[in-house]
Amino acid sequence: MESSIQIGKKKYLISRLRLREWLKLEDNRIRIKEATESKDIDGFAEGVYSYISVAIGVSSEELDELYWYEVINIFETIQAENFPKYEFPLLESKTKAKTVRWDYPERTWYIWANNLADTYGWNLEYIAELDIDDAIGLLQEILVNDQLEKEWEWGLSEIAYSYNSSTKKSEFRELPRPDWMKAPPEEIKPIRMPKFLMPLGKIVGRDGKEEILQ
Amino acid sequence: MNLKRSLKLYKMLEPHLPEDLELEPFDFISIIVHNIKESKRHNDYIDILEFVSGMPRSELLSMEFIDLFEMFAEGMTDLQIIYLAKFCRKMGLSDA
Repeated sequence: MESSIQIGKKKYLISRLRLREWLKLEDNRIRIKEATESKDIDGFAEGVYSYISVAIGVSSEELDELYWYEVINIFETIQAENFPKYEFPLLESKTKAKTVRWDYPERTWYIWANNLADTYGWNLEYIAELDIDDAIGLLQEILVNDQLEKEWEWGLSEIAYSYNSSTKKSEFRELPRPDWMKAPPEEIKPIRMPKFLMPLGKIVGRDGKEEILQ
Repeated sequence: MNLKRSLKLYKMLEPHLPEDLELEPFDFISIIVHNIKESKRHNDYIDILEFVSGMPRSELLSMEFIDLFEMFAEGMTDLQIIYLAKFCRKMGLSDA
């Protein structure tokens, strides 16, 4: 569903972006998140302006002239329009991408394009115009296949097994998975404990409250 | 007020904002003033008024309390301060 907004006399259509432009939006979302974490309010505002500029082409200078409420309204409308349809685990990765020597602006697009082109043989123009849900789903499948293949090869190699001198046996060490592929930790269930095993005497809780157990 | 200035204003107001953002605007603003008074950081009140009104500090200091309060309340209402606080907290810009 598309929505429209008016800035001055000009009307702008807010629509769901295609992959290449959406990745620029994502880069800006990360920039906003980093500014939020460091409580950098100017960086946050710049990130919001840049986010809107990518989506509808309004310059930061024009946005700086607008009332804050309008800017936030536009920002939230663009965000709502461009949320992926599903909660892809790939996007929930908590590991911060490490900066490397060979980084450059908009590298995210080339990483995605490289993976999709390599697997499906599509050209850049086709990949750039992919629907974001399709692109995220496909990239996740590529990365899962890649990881499972590596795990298989790892299992066949000697380095996957280390000798435990106390048990005098070789033990298999799993190849670490990216955090978005790991199963969430199981919730610890409360265990009933017999009364005679309960501690006796004065118990001081973490909150400093004292309780006498008899 | 543009986004950059409104975020600066939020940072000035933040230590004095009520926890509850669902209050009526007048109650919300009254609690801010009460919190500033309680914190004994009276300069914050004048700093905020100076920032919002653009009036010189000396002029603000010569005004009656009730006029200052009226100006403060009007400024905060016009700036939709509750919505600003909700947005900033939602985005994680809050120090708390």
